[in-house]
Amino acid sequence: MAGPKPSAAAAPFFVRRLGGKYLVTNEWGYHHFLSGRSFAKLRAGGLRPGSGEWEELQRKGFIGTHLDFQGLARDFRIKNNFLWSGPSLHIFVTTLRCNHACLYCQSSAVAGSRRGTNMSVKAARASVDMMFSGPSRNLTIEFQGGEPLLNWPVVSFVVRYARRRNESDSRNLTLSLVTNLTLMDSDKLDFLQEHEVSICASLDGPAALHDRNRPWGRKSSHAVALRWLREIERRRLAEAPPKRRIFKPSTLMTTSRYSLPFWRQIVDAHLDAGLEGVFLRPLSPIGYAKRVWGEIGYGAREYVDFYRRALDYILEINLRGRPFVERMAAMLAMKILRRNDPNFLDCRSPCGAGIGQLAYNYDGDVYTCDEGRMVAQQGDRSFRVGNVFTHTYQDLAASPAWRGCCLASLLDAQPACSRCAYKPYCGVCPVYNYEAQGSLWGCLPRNMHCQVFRGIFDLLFERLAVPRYRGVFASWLDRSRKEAPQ
Amino acid sequence: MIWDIDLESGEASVTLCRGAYEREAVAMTVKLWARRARCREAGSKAGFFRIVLRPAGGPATRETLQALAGGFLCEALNQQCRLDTVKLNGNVQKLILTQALYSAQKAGERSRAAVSPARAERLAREARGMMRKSGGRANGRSA
Repeated sequence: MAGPKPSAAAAPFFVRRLGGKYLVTNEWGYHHFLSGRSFAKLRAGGLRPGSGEWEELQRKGFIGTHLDFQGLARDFRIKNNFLWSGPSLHIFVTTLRCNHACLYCQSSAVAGSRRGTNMSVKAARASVDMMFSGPSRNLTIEFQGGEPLLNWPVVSFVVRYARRRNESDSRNLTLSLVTNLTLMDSDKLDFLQEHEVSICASLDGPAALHDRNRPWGRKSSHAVALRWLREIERRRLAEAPPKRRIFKPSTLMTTSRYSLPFWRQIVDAHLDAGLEGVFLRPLSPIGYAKRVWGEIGYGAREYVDFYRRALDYILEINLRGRPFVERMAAMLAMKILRRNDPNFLDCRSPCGAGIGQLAYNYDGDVYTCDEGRMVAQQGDRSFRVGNVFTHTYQDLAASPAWRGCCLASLLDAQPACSRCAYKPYCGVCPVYNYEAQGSLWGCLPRNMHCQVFRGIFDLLFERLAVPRYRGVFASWLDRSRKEAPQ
Repeated sequence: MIWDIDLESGEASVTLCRGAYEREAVAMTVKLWARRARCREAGSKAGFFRIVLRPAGGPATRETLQALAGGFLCEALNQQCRLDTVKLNGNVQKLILTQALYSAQKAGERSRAAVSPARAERLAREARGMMRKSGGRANGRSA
């Protein structure tokens, strides 16, 4: 015989025990911390309407008998907006050549003297045309390499050609250059700022660490990078009122085994450079880095420990009154606190491969993502979706690699993820799975990518439960909203 | 789920119950394990799959065979859970995947007036000229 009908049966939710509390999350991206007693009541449908906790859980879509379907559907649509858009990030590998010999060299770059790996103007033009064949209203061209400044004529051609094309297409076009800055000069910077190209430089930390991770002959790559970062910022501040959008310089930091003890110095180096934040990123054993993983790699626990120390240090800096953002945490906080998509392609379901980004190689080949291109550089073209000279955009979108990545990275199809409390905010990388575990699906309980993200989410939620830290995360989101281009 | 080590023949064998494991999960695991081991299905008892594994390279010590068999069982479980999850969440998966792939497949709006061929060619000529001026080096400075 059925018992009395519960007055507040729980809607489907995910749960994780964290710091003595129960963290519950749901598909719409809401989260709530519950005591053991309240959690037992929620599960049993014993929470009584009218209490403060019931009201809040109802508003967040945890009470199955009182769901606001329209509101929750709207939340789902905002959170998963990328499902309706198509690829927006287009990575142009204008050359594989590089003047550095970075230890991890994820770009699988080749020596600066080899000329056969430069993108031609013809391939560049076809790549821009391919990009405009896609449906997304927002388009971002990101120049990568190798060192893109080694093929400056093609970089400048793409900038001008894409801007010109967009005069009739009217998309939201943004351009970004990822560079080590050692080949920058005044003319190039003038051109980039005139055409509103944002600049993202590699900065691994203090000089000794940066130059160890990123050797550049006998010269200090760090000193040159720092000089140009300051010059970019000086020019930005000097132009008042701004006649055009001059972007603040941003940086990418890659963590090698040698970086792990220097969490404080890495943060300090970014502060000293006048930057507004740091983007702490783990290294992935993909492409070249896979071959040297024994020398420069580390385990998930080591990385999460490094990240915890750095994050806590950054939070304390903020609490002392200096705004300074950790970008990984800020992006995840946007998903958690605002239930919005920060366009972080590595961390969504399905992942950004194909449906969110495409990588155009120097030879016209197109890949699901830059990681997929790196795998091809080691001789395995599993992630190639086509070629700009021989395929149409529809051909690319119909390719097995594109569909396979989409299918394999859907968390609802991953046994370990489909019930995880972090599913509403997380993502898997099929290229990582393929490289580290031999299949697109991977085996998540033994997967380092999963262990790292689980560790980071644990850290974030533990800190979000503390009001003063929560305030810091919220202030980062307020800042980024104010600074977003209109 | 049982496994057995035979040091003399340098092989490990694993036995999986057909009640819990589908043929597709076992076949997927065999395929995934092909780089690490030579896998063959041995004459199996009714109601069970029996897979014999021989390391693809290196010595067949007790430790390597144990690791091989343990890893195989772990992957088989992962594959079976994946199939079960697909059955459980199949409808949701289809909705999301269809939406994502359909949206990405749509062609962009045709450019009303894309860059004229003459204009595009002029930009391209300029870029090629820059390359020539720099003496074949794509960048004007030495690397």
